[in-house]
Amino acid sequence: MLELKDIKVKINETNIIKGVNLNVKQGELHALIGPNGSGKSSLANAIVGREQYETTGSVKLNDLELLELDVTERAKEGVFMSFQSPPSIPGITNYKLLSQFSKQYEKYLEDIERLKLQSGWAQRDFNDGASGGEKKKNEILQLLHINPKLVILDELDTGLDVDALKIVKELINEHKNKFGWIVISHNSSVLRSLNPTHVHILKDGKITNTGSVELLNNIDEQGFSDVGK
Amino acid sequence: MNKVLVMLENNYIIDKSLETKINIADFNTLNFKIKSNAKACLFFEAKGNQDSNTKINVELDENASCELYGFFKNTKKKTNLITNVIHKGSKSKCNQDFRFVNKRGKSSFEGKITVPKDVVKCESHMLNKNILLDTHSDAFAKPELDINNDDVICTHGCTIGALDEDHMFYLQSRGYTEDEATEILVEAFAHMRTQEHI
Repeated sequence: MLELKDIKVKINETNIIKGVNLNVKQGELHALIGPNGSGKSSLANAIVGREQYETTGSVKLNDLELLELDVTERAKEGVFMSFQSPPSIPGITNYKLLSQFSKQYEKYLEDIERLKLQSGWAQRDFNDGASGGEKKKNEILQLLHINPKLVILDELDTGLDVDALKIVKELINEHKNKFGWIVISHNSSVLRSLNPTHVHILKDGKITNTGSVELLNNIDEQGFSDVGK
Repeated sequence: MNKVLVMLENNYIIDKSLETKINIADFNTLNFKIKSNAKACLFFEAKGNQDSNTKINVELDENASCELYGFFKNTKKKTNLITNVIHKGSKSKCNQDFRFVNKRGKSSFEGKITVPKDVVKCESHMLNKNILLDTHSDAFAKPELDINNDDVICTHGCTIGALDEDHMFYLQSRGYTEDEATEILVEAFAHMRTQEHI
């Protein structure tokens, strides 16, 4: 489904990603872990198509070259990213922002309840006055209604408390087979609980190790600096 | 001749409560006198494609209150607006929020709040926000306070800038085109006016 070949990303002439290859198939959940500043979020933004991220190589989604498309076109082809820090946009309601993509209002209300968001969430201004956890839940709520092909969760667990994380994990597991997943986190226990099919360590803009959940155990024991030496 | 006079000078005396929309493109000067204990909520807009030059004068008697809101989209046109709010009576309140979105257009906002020395316990806020959608647009802002005693609450503020890049990227990443995302953010900017105080 998603095929990254020799991806290199530059921001303001600084090389951030220095040649990444990655294949993600539907139903696979790829955990991407790495130290701060290793380029995890930059890789996510490059796949989504943020302009400032000058990207070379090839990013194919079902054989379609995404690097030739702008951010809107990529979203329409099925790329979805849950943002690390989703914005607040006062003046437009949560449901209004989504309503172009989903007319299932009843289902939307059910999902709000499922995610334990406050009643009235649909008509509240978009993320206005929302906590970090509520913003993250709102990303998952949108995911359930936009129905993409590729899902990138950038720092999924930031802001989510234990109970909220449990609900989000349940939802991910329920929908695991529908999408291809790249889940970015610093937290190996969160990634482990999602039963990733693949684990990759990103260090200094390169994937240095790829393996199974075992790799997460090695990180816990040895730290990033010693794994793969 | 009468018609011309009506278009140029308009005086309103509000003695109870009034909530209304006013198309400023029809006027050069609008005078409002808000009597004691009366409450006015006035929404200003500028329909049509012609340039407009308007002065809004507001006088507030004791314990009167007035909300002045305006949202103007200047696409290839120019809107000049002057507001002059005078707190004539103590405990009077006024909240102004005027917003402009300019696309190949120009806006000018000059707002003045006056509180005389012997008029106390007034509250007056003035906010002017401008969004420039391209490099061919201009916005001019001159907020002014003339406060002559310490027993008041008064604020003023002004912003001029482009649409938030992070918001644009976010909406586009959800599948909205650049034009659609712009429209949503402009609409959001217009709706915010009643919720925000400086």
